[in-house]
Amino acid sequence: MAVYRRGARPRFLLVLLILTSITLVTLDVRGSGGGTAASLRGAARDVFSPVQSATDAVVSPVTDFFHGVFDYRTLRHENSLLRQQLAQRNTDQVAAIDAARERQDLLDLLNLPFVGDVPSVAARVTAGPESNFQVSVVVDRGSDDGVLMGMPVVAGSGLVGRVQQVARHESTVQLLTDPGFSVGVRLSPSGDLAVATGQGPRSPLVVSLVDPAMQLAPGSVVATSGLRESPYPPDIPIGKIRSAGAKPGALQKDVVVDPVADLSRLTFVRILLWTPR
Amino acid sequence: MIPGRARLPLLVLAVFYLHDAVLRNFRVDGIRPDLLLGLTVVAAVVGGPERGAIAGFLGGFVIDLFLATPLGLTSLVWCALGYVVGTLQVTILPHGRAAIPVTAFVASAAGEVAFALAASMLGQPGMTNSHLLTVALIVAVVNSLVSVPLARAVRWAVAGNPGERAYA
Repeated sequence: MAVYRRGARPRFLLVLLILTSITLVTLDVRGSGGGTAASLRGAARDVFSPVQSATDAVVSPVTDFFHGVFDYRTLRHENSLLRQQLAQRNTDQVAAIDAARERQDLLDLLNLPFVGDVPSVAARVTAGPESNFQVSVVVDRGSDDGVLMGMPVVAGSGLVGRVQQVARHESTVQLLTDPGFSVGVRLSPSGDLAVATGQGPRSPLVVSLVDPAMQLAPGSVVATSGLRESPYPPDIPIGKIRSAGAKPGALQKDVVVDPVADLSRLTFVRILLWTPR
Repeated sequence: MIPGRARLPLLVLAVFYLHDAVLRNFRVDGIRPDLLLGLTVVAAVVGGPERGAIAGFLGGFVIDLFLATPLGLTSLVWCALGYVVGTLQVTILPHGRAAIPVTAFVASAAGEVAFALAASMLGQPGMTNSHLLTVALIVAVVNSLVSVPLARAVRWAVAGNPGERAYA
């Protein structure tokens, strides 16, 4: 095996490439995800998304097959869950009618017009996260459809996330379980304000800044606060309280919230064309 | 005939196409393989520190265009990784049939961890948790498996520049 000959050139090149990278990082961080970096990203997506779509149409049967093979454990678990659900379905049928009425009552009670008259566009989820460190999905609507960065995204039952990156024909939606996702919330029935933060895929949200003396019942709905300048309209359901407790002497309550939207099976979402007022 | 200097960038684009179009929805237990990281490591082993740094920078930059982390972060980490692996390859790393898969395994895991640490230092939340270990392990295994065909492709790219050729 011949050996690579070392010289001064690789070191000079390394310094050059590292300085270029640091410059790019600095520009992006200082631009807060906007500016030149965002334009560059949007242009790259515009160029590459037709290639991705065309390729996906051709190779999806093959990748679906491998998805089944490599995600066997998940599929087996899902299969088992579906069997359990099917067995329970008959029993639950009657209860479901009551549950639906209860949910409607709850929404009425909390005065949750949900989307109301906010204009929106429906979007199809086309891909999962681009990185293993992001909790996001890619949807097939972009700036040509009026989508802007930061717009809220909802599904049938509640908030899903927010638009994180926009190209002309597609966008990346940061899901609310992403560790970088935070949203101002209003707790029911007290109406107190707090902040919910994502904890990672398949993990519940954690609500912070909750007074330890506050009484919260498991199952209570948590919705967006919609305070002035908030990036989300008010009263969009986010989740239901799983547990709420405080250690002795703690300055805030530990509140865990399960998202109401099923983030693992998103197929269609609705992007609210809404900007903070 | 493809000019020698254009071969490595072309290979980076080809692997990116494979990664982001052909295998876009391909997951192993929910984790997405990182072929461009594998290419960086293999380019460093086969082509030395200079090629490793170039492949890492180009691959990282292309990937960065599609991520929410700061632009240039992946290229920074992978560029340094490619240089370090390329330098170690000529000094302490073992040579032999298993050298490329073993190096690909270790360096890919290290690359994922290094990226997560760098992102954490820049204030990206949720990067260093137990999920990171799963990501590093799966990416390392996949890159180890694909390292041999990647090495063939890198040898083709390196062969375009006889003056700077290196072999592994």
